[in-house]
Amino acid sequence: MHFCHNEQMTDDISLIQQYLAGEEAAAEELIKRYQRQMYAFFYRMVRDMEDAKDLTQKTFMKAIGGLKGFRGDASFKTWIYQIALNTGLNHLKESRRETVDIDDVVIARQEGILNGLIDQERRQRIRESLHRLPERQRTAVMLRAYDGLSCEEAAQIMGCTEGAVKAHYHLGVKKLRGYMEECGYVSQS
Amino acid sequence: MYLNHEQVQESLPDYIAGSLKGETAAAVESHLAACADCTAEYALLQEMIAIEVPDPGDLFWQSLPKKVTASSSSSRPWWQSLNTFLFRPLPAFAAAGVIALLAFVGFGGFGLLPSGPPPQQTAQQNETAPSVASNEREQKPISPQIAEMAQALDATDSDATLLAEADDGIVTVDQPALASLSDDDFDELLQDLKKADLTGGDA
Repeated sequence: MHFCHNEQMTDDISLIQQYLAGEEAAAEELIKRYQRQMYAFFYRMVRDMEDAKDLTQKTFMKAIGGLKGFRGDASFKTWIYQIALNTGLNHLKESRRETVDIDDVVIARQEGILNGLIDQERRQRIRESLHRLPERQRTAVMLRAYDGLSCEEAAQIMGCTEGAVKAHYHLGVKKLRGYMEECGYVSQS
Repeated sequence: MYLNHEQVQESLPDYIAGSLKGETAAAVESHLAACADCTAEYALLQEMIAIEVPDPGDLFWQSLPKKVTASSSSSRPWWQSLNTFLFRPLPAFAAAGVIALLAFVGFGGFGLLPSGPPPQQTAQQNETAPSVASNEREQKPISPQIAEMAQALDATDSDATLLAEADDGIVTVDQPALASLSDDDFDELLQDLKKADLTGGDA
Protein backbone atom coordinates (compact mmCIF):
# COMPACT_ATOMS: atom_id res chain seq x y z
CA MET A 1 0.00 0.00 0.00
CA HIS A 2 1.43 3.32 -0.97
CA PHE A 3 0.10 6.72 -0.02
CA CYS A 4 1.91 9.51 -1.73
CA HIS A 5 1.04 13.00 -0.56
CA ASN A 6 4.50 14.44 -1.15
CA GLU A 7 3.41 16.82 -3.88
CA GLN A 8 0.65 18.32 -1.76
CA MET A 9 3.01 18.47 1.23
CA THR A 10 5.71 20.33 -0.72
CA ASP A 11 3.09 22.69 -2.04
CA ASP A 12 1.79 23.41 1.46
CA ILE A 13 5.30 24.05 2.76
CA SER A 14 5.97 26.41 -0.11
CA LEU A 15 2.80 28.36 0.81
CA ILE A 16 3.89 28.46 4.45
CA GLN A 17 7.29 29.88 3.46
CA GLN A 18 5.61 32.50 1.30
CA TYR A 19 3.35 33.49 4.19
CA LEU A 20 6.27 33.73 6.59
CA ALA A 21 8.02 35.98 4.06
CA GLY A 22 5.07 38.36 4.35
CA GLU A 23 2.63 37.20 1.69
CA GLU A 24 -0.83 36.98 3.27
CA ALA A 25 -2.44 35.56 0.15
CA ALA A 26 -0.46 32.34 0.70
CA ALA A 27 -2.19 31.80 4.06
CA GLU A 28 -5.57 32.40 2.43
CA GLU A 29 -4.76 29.74 -0.16
CA LEU A 30 -3.76 27.34 2.58
CA ILE A 31 -7.05 27.92 4.42
CA LYS A 32 -9.09 27.45 1.25
CA ARG A 33 -7.47 24.06 0.74
CA TYR A 34 -8.49 22.68 4.11
CA GLN A 35 -11.51 24.67 5.27
CA ARG A 36 -14.13 22.19 4.01
CA GLN A 37 -12.34 19.20 5.52
CA MET A 38 -11.99 21.01 8.84
CA TYR A 39 -15.60 22.11 8.93
CA ALA A 40 -16.87 18.56 8.12
CA PHE A 41 -14.56 17.12 10.78
CA PHE A 42 -15.96 19.48 13.39
CA TYR A 43 -19.56 19.05 12.32
CA ARG A 44 -19.28 15.27 12.75
CA MET A 45 -17.68 15.79 16.10
CA VAL A 46 -20.02 18.40 17.62
CA ARG A 47 -23.12 17.96 15.41
CA ASP A 48 -23.87 21.68 15.39
CA MET A 49 -23.32 23.97 12.41
CA GLU A 50 -22.57 27.17 14.32
CA ASP A 51 -20.19 25.43 16.69
CA ALA A 52 -18.50 23.72 13.74
CA LYS A 53 -18.05 27.08 12.00
CA ASP A 54 -16.61 28.68 15.14
CA LEU A 55 -14.28 25.77 15.75
CA THR A 56 -13.09 25.82 12.14
CA GLN A 57 -12.26 29.51 12.41
CA LYS A 58 -10.58 29.03 15.78
CA THR A 59 -8.46 26.18 14.43
CA PHE A 60 -7.22 28.18 11.46
CA MET A 61 -6.45 31.16 13.68
CA LYS A 62 -4.35 28.94 15.91
CA ALA A 63 -2.68 27.28 12.93
CA ILE A 64 -1.86 30.45 11.00
CA GLY A 65 -0.84 32.26 14.18
CA GLY A 66 1.50 29.40 15.04
CA LEU A 67 3.03 28.85 11.61
CA LYS A 68 6.36 30.19 12.87
CA GLY A 69 6.52 27.14 15.09
CA PHE A 70 5.73 24.72 12.27
CA ARG A 71 8.88 22.66 11.86
CA GLY A 72 7.82 20.68 8.82
CA ASP A 73 8.51 17.30 10.44
CA ALA A 74 4.97 16.26 9.58
CA SER A 75 2.76 17.57 6.80
CA PHE A 76 0.67 20.70 7.29
CA LYS A 77 -2.40 18.47 6.89
CA THR A 78 -1.59 16.30 9.90
CA TRP A 79 -0.46 19.36 11.84
CA ILE A 80 -3.77 21.14 11.32
CA TYR A 81 -5.71 17.97 12.16
CA GLN A 82 -3.77 17.79 15.42
CA ILE A 83 -4.84 21.34 16.26
CA ALA A 84 -8.41 20.57 15.19
CA LEU A 85 -8.60 17.43 17.31
CA ASN A 86 -7.38 19.23 20.42
CA THR A 87 -9.67 22.20 19.78
CA GLY A 88 -12.68 19.93 19.23
CA LEU A 89 -12.02 17.75 22.27
CA ASN A 90 -11.57 20.81 24.48
CA HIS A 91 -14.84 22.20 23.19
CA LEU A 92 -16.65 18.95 23.96
CA LYS A 93 -15.17 18.87 27.46
CA GLU A 94 -16.22 22.45 28.09
CA SER A 95 -19.71 22.16 26.72
CA ARG A 96 -20.59 18.57 27.66
CA ARG A 97 -24.04 18.92 26.27
CA GLU A 98 -26.31 16.88 24.18
CA THR A 99 -26.79 18.33 20.76
CA VAL A 100 -29.88 18.04 18.65
CA ASP A 101 -29.59 17.59 14.92
CA ILE A 102 -31.90 20.41 13.93
CA ASP A 103 -30.86 20.07 10.31
CA ASP A 104 -31.92 16.43 10.32
CA VAL A 105 -35.32 17.28 11.79
CA VAL A 106 -35.85 19.97 9.16
CA ILE A 107 -34.81 17.65 6.34
CA ALA A 108 -37.09 14.90 7.68
CA ARG A 109 -40.06 17.27 7.78
CA GLN A 110 -39.39 18.45 4.29
CA GLU A 111 -39.17 14.95 2.90
CA GLY A 112 -42.31 13.92 4.72
CA ILE A 113 -42.36 10.41 3.35
CA LEU A 114 -41.91 7.13 5.14
CA ASN A 115 -38.77 6.10 3.30
CA GLY A 116 -37.18 9.43 3.97
CA LEU A 117 -37.96 9.16 7.66
CA ILE A 118 -36.54 5.65 7.83
CA ASP A 119 -33.36 6.74 6.10
CA GLN A 120 -33.21 9.77 8.29
CA GLU A 121 -33.59 7.74 11.42
CA ARG A 122 -30.92 5.38 10.21
CA ARG A 123 -28.49 8.26 9.64
CA GLN A 124 -29.37 9.58 13.05
CA ARG A 125 -28.69 6.18 14.56
CA ILE A 126 -25.28 5.96 12.90
CA ARG A 127 -24.31 9.35 14.26
CA GLU A 128 -25.48 8.50 17.74
CA SER A 129 -23.63 5.19 17.60
CA LEU A 130 -20.49 6.99 16.58
CA HIS A 131 -20.81 9.30 19.54
CA ARG A 132 -21.29 6.41 21.92
CA LEU A 133 -17.79 5.20 21.08
CA PRO A 134 -14.92 5.91 23.45
CA GLU A 135 -13.02 9.03 22.41
CA ARG A 136 -9.93 7.31 20.93
CA GLN A 137 -11.99 4.80 18.96
CA ARG A 138 -14.30 7.50 17.65
CA THR A 139 -11.32 9.63 16.60
CA ALA A 140 -9.69 6.71 14.79
CA VAL A 141 -12.92 5.90 12.93
CA MET A 142 -13.50 9.54 12.00
CA LEU A 143 -9.97 10.12 10.76
CA ARG A 144 -9.78 6.86 8.82
CA ALA A 145 -13.32 6.53 7.45
CA TYR A 146 -14.57 10.11 7.08
CA ASP A 147 -11.38 12.00 6.40
CA GLY A 148 -9.66 9.25 4.45
CA LEU A 149 -6.38 9.64 6.31
CA SER A 150 -3.83 6.85 6.33
CA CYS A 151 -2.92 4.92 9.48
CA GLU A 152 0.40 6.77 9.52
CA GLU A 153 -1.29 10.19 9.37
CA ALA A 154 -3.90 9.23 11.98
CA ALA A 155 -1.11 8.01 14.26
CA GLN A 156 0.72 11.35 13.96
CA ILE A 157 -2.48 13.27 14.72
CA MET A 158 -3.47 11.10 17.67
CA GLY A 159 0.08 10.88 18.97
CA CYS A 160 0.24 7.10 19.02
CA THR A 161 1.57 4.21 16.93
CA GLU A 162 0.04 2.95 13.69
CA GLY A 163 -0.72 -0.31 15.46
CA ALA A 164 -2.72 1.56 18.10
CA VAL A 165 -4.68 3.38 15.38
CA LYS A 166 -5.51 0.06 13.69
CA ALA A 167 -6.66 -1.39 17.02
CA HIS A 168 -8.80 1.66 17.90
CA TYR A 169 -10.32 1.69 14.42
CA HIS A 170 -11.05 -2.04 14.40
CA LEU A 171 -12.71 -1.97 17.84
CA GLY A 172 -14.63 1.19 16.95
CA VAL A 173 -16.12 -0.24 13.76
CA LYS A 174 -16.98 -3.48 15.52
CA LYS A 175 -18.86 -1.58 18.25
CA LEU A 176 -20.63 0.58 15.68
CA ARG A 177 -21.95 -2.47 13.93
CA GLY A 178 -22.99 -3.86 17.32
CA TYR A 179 -24.94 -0.69 18.22
CA MET A 180 -26.69 -0.72 14.86
CA GLU A 181 -27.68 -4.35 15.25
CA GLU A 182 -28.96 -3.66 18.80
CA CYS A 183 -31.42 -1.23 17.26
CA GLY A 184 -32.51 -3.76 14.66
CA TYR A 185 -30.63 -2.26 11.76
CA VAL A 186 -28.75 -4.48 9.40
CA SER A 187 -26.22 -3.29 6.88
CA GLN A 188 -27.72 -2.11 3.60
CA SER A 189 -25.56 -4.00 1.17
CA MET B 1 -1.34 -10.29 -4.14
CA TYR B 2 -3.22 -11.80 -1.23
CA LEU B 3 -4.79 -9.92 1.69
CA ASN B 4 -6.32 -11.75 4.62
CA HIS B 5 -9.62 -10.83 6.32
CA GLU B 6 -8.08 -8.41 8.84
CA GLN B 7 -5.89 -6.70 6.24
CA VAL B 8 -8.92 -6.14 4.04
CA GLN B 9 -10.89 -4.64 6.93
CA GLU B 10 -7.99 -2.33 7.73
CA SER B 11 -7.77 -1.31 4.09
CA LEU B 12 -11.46 -0.56 3.56
CA PRO B 13 -11.25 3.19 4.35
CA ASP B 14 -8.35 3.51 1.89
CA TYR B 15 -10.26 1.48 -0.69
CA ILE B 16 -13.29 3.78 -0.32
CA ALA B 17 -11.07 6.88 -0.49
CA GLY B 18 -9.61 5.50 -3.75
CA SER B 19 -6.04 5.59 -2.46
CA LEU B 20 -5.40 1.88 -3.12
CA LYS B 21 -3.90 1.10 -6.50
CA GLY B 22 -3.37 -1.91 -8.75
CA GLU B 23 -2.94 -5.27 -7.11
CA THR B 24 -3.95 -4.08 -3.63
CA ALA B 25 -7.28 -2.73 -4.84
CA ALA B 26 -7.88 -5.92 -6.84
CA ALA B 27 -7.13 -8.07 -3.78
CA VAL B 28 -9.69 -6.10 -1.71
CA GLU B 29 -12.30 -6.42 -4.44
CA SER B 30 -11.86 -10.19 -4.76
CA HIS B 31 -12.10 -10.61 -0.97
CA LEU B 32 -15.25 -8.47 -0.78
CA ALA B 33 -16.90 -10.67 -3.40
CA ALA B 34 -16.37 -13.71 -1.19
CA CYS B 35 -16.69 -12.36 2.41
CA ALA B 36 -20.16 -11.31 3.76
CA ASP B 37 -18.67 -9.85 6.95
CA CYS B 38 -16.35 -7.52 5.07
CA THR B 39 -19.12 -6.61 2.63
CA ALA B 40 -21.37 -5.59 5.56
CA GLU B 41 -18.59 -3.46 7.04
CA TYR B 42 -17.88 -1.91 3.67
CA ALA B 43 -21.59 -1.03 3.29
CA LEU B 44 -21.72 0.56 6.76
CA LEU B 45 -18.65 2.67 6.06
CA GLN B 46 -20.08 3.83 2.74
CA GLU B 47 -23.33 4.73 4.47
CA MET B 48 -21.47 6.71 7.13
CA ILE B 49 -19.50 8.64 4.55
CA ALA B 50 -22.64 9.34 2.54
CA ILE B 51 -24.21 11.20 5.46
CA GLU B 52 -24.13 14.75 4.31
CA VAL B 53 -22.76 17.59 6.32
CA PRO B 54 -24.90 20.75 6.05
CA ASP B 55 -23.21 23.42 3.96
CA PRO B 56 -22.71 26.69 5.86
CA GLY B 57 -22.90 28.61 2.56
CA ASP B 58 -20.60 30.45 0.18
CA LEU B 59 -20.40 33.52 2.39
CA PHE B 60 -18.73 31.46 5.10
CA TRP B 61 -16.24 29.84 2.71
CA GLN B 62 -15.34 33.16 1.10
CA SER B 63 -15.03 35.19 4.28
CA LEU B 64 -13.20 32.65 6.45
CA PRO B 65 -9.72 32.97 4.85
CA LYS B 66 -9.86 36.77 5.03
CA LYS B 67 -11.14 36.79 8.61
CA VAL B 68 -8.36 34.48 9.75
CA THR B 69 -5.55 36.31 7.96
CA ALA B 70 -6.86 39.70 9.13
CA SER B 71 -6.88 38.59 12.76
CA SER B 72 -3.48 36.94 12.51
CA SER B 73 -1.91 39.91 10.70
CA SER B 74 -2.89 42.18 13.61
CA SER B 75 -0.85 39.97 15.92
CA ARG B 76 2.13 39.68 13.55
CA PRO B 77 5.37 41.55 14.26
CA TRP B 78 5.62 44.99 12.64
CA TRP B 79 8.41 44.03 10.24
CA GLN B 80 6.28 41.30 8.70
CA SER B 81 3.39 43.73 8.27
CA LEU B 82 5.84 46.14 6.65
CA ASN B 83 6.92 43.37 4.29
CA THR B 84 3.31 42.77 3.39
CA PHE B 85 2.82 46.46 2.70
CA LEU B 86 5.97 46.88 0.67
CA PHE B 87 5.47 43.80 -1.42
CA ARG B 88 1.94 44.63 -2.43
CA PRO B 89 1.98 45.48 -6.14
CA LEU B 90 0.73 49.09 -5.88
CA PRO B 91 3.14 50.41 -3.20
CA ALA B 92 5.96 48.59 -4.99
CA PHE B 93 5.27 50.47 -8.20
CA ALA B 94 4.84 53.73 -6.32
CA ALA B 95 8.12 53.19 -4.46
CA ALA B 96 9.90 52.38 -7.72
CA GLY B 97 8.53 55.59 -9.24
CA VAL B 98 9.74 57.72 -6.34
CA ILE B 99 13.20 56.11 -6.45
CA ALA B 100 13.42 56.69 -10.22
CA LEU B 101 12.39 60.34 -9.79
CA LEU B 102 14.97 60.91 -7.07
CA ALA B 103 17.67 59.30 -9.20
CA PHE B 104 16.64 61.42 -12.20
CA VAL B 105 16.88 64.65 -10.23
CA GLY B 106 19.95 63.59 -8.27
CA PHE B 107 21.97 62.74 -11.39
CA GLY B 108 21.05 65.94 -13.16
CA GLY B 109 18.27 64.46 -15.21
CA PHE B 110 20.67 62.23 -17.12
CA GLY B 111 21.63 65.23 -19.28
CA LEU B 112 18.02 66.08 -20.15
CA LEU B 113 17.66 68.89 -17.64
CA PRO B 114 19.65 72.19 -18.03
CA SER B 115 22.58 71.89 -15.65
CA GLY B 116 23.67 75.57 -15.53
CA PRO B 117 21.94 78.87 -14.70
CA PRO B 118 19.37 80.46 -17.06
CA PRO B 119 20.67 81.92 -20.40
CA GLN B 120 20.69 85.59 -19.21
CA GLN B 121 22.89 84.67 -16.29
CA THR B 122 25.23 82.79 -18.61
CA ALA B 123 25.69 85.90 -20.78
CA GLN B 124 26.37 88.02 -17.74
CA GLN B 125 28.80 85.45 -16.50
CA ASN B 126 30.61 85.54 -19.86
CA GLU B 127 31.12 89.29 -19.51
CA THR B 128 32.62 89.00 -16.08
CA ALA B 129 34.57 85.93 -16.95
CA PRO B 130 37.90 87.67 -17.62
CA SER B 131 37.93 89.51 -14.30
CA VAL B 132 36.97 86.30 -12.51
CA ALA B 133 39.71 84.59 -14.41
CA SER B 134 42.17 87.29 -13.44
CA ASN B 135 41.01 87.04 -9.84
CA GLU B 136 41.65 83.38 -9.94
CA ARG B 137 45.07 83.87 -11.39
CA GLU B 138 47.92 83.17 -9.11
CA GLN B 139 49.01 86.19 -7.15
CA LYS B 140 52.58 86.97 -7.96
CA PRO B 141 54.95 88.97 -5.75
CA ILE B 142 54.44 92.74 -6.09
CA SER B 143 57.14 95.34 -6.29
CA PRO B 144 58.36 96.73 -2.96
CA GLN B 145 57.32 100.26 -3.98
CA ILE B 146 53.71 99.34 -4.50
CA ALA B 147 53.66 97.36 -1.29
CA GLU B 148 54.97 100.36 0.58
CA MET B 149 52.30 102.55 -0.94
CA ALA B 150 49.58 100.10 -0.02
CA GLN B 151 50.78 100.17 3.53
CA ALA B 152 50.92 103.91 3.48
CA LEU B 153 47.35 104.07 2.29
CA ASP B 154 46.35 102.02 5.33
CA ALA B 155 43.73 100.29 3.34
CA THR B 156 40.55 99.37 5.08
CA ASP B 157 37.67 97.16 4.04
CA SER B 158 35.51 98.80 1.44
CA ASP B 159 33.06 97.71 -1.25
CA ALA B 160 34.61 99.96 -3.85
CA THR B 161 38.13 98.82 -4.77
CA LEU B 162 40.65 99.78 -7.35
CA LEU B 163 42.50 96.99 -9.01
CA ALA B 164 46.08 97.52 -9.98
CA GLU B 165 48.40 94.94 -11.34
CA ALA B 166 52.01 94.81 -10.31
CA ASP B 167 54.26 92.40 -12.16
CA ASP B 168 51.15 90.45 -13.14
CA GLY B 169 50.18 90.27 -9.50
CA ILE B 170 47.12 91.86 -7.98
CA VAL B 171 46.99 94.47 -5.33
CA THR B 172 43.82 95.99 -4.01
CA VAL B 173 43.72 99.59 -2.93
CA ASP B 174 40.75 101.08 -1.18
CA GLN B 175 39.15 103.88 -3.18
CA PRO B 176 38.35 106.10 -0.15
CA ALA B 177 41.96 105.79 0.99
CA LEU B 178 43.06 106.82 -2.50
CA ALA B 179 40.77 109.83 -2.43
CA SER B 180 42.23 111.00 0.84
CA LEU B 181 45.73 111.26 -0.63
CA SER B 182 47.22 114.73 -0.97
CA ASP B 183 48.04 115.97 -4.48
CA ASP B 184 51.74 115.37 -3.97
CA ASP B 185 51.24 111.85 -2.71
CA PHE B 186 48.87 111.10 -5.58
CA ASP B 187 51.35 112.41 -8.19
CA GLU B 188 54.06 110.33 -6.63
CA LEU B 189 51.89 107.25 -6.79
CA LEU B 190 51.00 107.96 -10.41
CA GLN B 191 54.63 108.32 -11.38
CA ASP B 192 55.50 105.08 -9.70
CA LEU B 193 52.73 103.35 -11.56
CA LYS B 194 53.93 104.82 -14.84
CA LYS B 195 57.40 103.58 -14.10
CA ALA B 196 56.03 100.12 -13.54
CA ASP B 197 53.80 100.50 -16.64
CA LEU B 198 50.77 99.36 -14.72
CA THR B 199 48.26 102.01 -15.72
CA GLY B 200 47.28 100.37 -18.96
CA GLY B 201 48.62 103.37 -20.92
CA ASP B 202 45.88 105.75 -19.86
CA ALA B 203 47.91 107.83 -17.53
